[in-house]
Amino acid sequence: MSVAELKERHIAATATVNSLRERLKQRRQLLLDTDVAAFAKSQGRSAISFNSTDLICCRTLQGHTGKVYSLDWTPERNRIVSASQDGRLIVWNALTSQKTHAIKLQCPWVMTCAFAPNGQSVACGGLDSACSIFNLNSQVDRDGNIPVSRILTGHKGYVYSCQYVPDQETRLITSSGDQTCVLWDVTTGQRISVFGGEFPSGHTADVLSVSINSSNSNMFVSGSCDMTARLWDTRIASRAVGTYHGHQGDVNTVKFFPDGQRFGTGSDDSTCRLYDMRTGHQLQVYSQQHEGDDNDVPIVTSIAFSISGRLLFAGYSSGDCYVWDTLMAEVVLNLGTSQNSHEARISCLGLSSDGSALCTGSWDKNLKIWAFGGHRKVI
Amino acid sequence: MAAAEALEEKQADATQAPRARSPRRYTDLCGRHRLQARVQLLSREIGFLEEELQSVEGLQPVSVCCKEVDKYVGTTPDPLIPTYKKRHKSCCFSRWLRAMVCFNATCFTGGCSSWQNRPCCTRRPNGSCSSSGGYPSRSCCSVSCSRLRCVIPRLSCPGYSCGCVCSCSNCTKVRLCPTCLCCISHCVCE
Repeated sequence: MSVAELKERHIAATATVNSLRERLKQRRQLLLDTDVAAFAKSQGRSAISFNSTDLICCRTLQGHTGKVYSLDWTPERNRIVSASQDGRLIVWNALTSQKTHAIKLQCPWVMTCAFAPNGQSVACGGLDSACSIFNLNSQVDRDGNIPVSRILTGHKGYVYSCQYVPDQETRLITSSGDQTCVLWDVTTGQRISVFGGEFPSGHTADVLSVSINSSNSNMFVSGSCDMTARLWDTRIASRAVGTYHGHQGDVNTVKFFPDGQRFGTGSDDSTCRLYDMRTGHQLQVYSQQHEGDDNDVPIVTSIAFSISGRLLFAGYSSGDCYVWDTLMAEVVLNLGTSQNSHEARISCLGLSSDGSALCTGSWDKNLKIWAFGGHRKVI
Repeated sequence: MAAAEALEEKQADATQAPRARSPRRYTDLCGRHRLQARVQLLSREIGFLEEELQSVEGLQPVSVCCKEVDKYVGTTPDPLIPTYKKRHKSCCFSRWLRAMVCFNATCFTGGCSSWQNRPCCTRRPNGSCSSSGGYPSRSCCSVSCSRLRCVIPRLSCPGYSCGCVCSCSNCTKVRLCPTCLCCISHCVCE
């Protein structure tokens, strides 16, 4: 086939894709009979009411000398690992604020970190395009550093996000600037599957976040600079199970809803959204009016759901950390204006495994732990 | 003569303008392959979109999903939310331990090393108190509430405290340690 014929085919195929997408959008619009907030209001629900002292900052973890980029809790024992611009991982005891480990990284440009399910290892990745694994029980070297126990190489771009598969110490998923996600065998260092890339249907831009379904660890969702979130089945790398449109900017963060049937997203377009995994429906948009011009609209950097799903915590580039009532789509608290709040962008946040505490990380070099410190009303 | 004629022909040839050759066709292999790959990708995308269009036909409306979300959120207790629904009485009360929690000076100074070994007070059926762990029983007996239990400490009530929760039938509020440094040894009914 000649180049001219190929070009004609390309133009025709592009037009067909656009037309089909438009038809799909219209069909979905017909099914959009309500959203979560309208439904909840019709059921007589009212927004959660917080006093200003209900969620308090009960710990400030100080020690990083650079911006905090990423954090992760252990599944148990209340420890946190954080990654920073200072080129270090720090492992904290969240209850005592003590640092149990400080790992100086060979490549200081780290962007993500994660705790293994057994709490014995941590993983990190960044601009070196690799994911490094450290065993916290290893003997330190002559300089007092924990040596790297495995390096997972294969990505052709920076590693922006990583997460261990729940209850599987040997499986890890990374997302990368090379537009792919990879499932790794940590023991052998081999890639088990590559999701996306040139031929299989995948993201068409950098992949910034992953979230694995804790109810079904074969499923994970990814968020990308191509403004979509995609659902993957780890057993089928050849194509995404679903593609979720709606955002008007990079999807920086994705997180599964606690029931494992829905997931939330946060984007450069300053909104968070809730999608139904199975149907692909967009169930709710969480959006706040911002003062100032369009250039100052804060981006959503990170999200987490409370254990019941009733609260959606969203960190923003402005330093705000909105607590959304997910049912009513209202902001019920702003941790960014609370006492002892962060002084710069919230870059990451995460909930402890028992749901009793939220940890936020910021460009102000600190991490903060927030917990309920008020009166509980029994109804 | 023949030589002269040959020379004339040669000169005639020489004066003829050289025939311009058509430019050598540069085969842009890279660009062609890339274009072909893009067309293949688009063809696959068309297939996926057509499948999705078919699947959307039988989908439930958004309201069904919203109902599921509403139901799920309402049934799961959440330690970060100020209100929670009381469980059914028979289920709730039967689980609660009739125990009193002592103010543990060791815990207050940060000496607690284990969540499990905190000493507890118990109220005997005759109303008197006993305590384990060698702690004075008088602090146990300041309890006026009949239903107390020890809870696993949380970050809102961390290891330095005993994480007391108190509730009784007259109380509409459950009070946690407000400053995370002391136990509430009596019911606060408001």
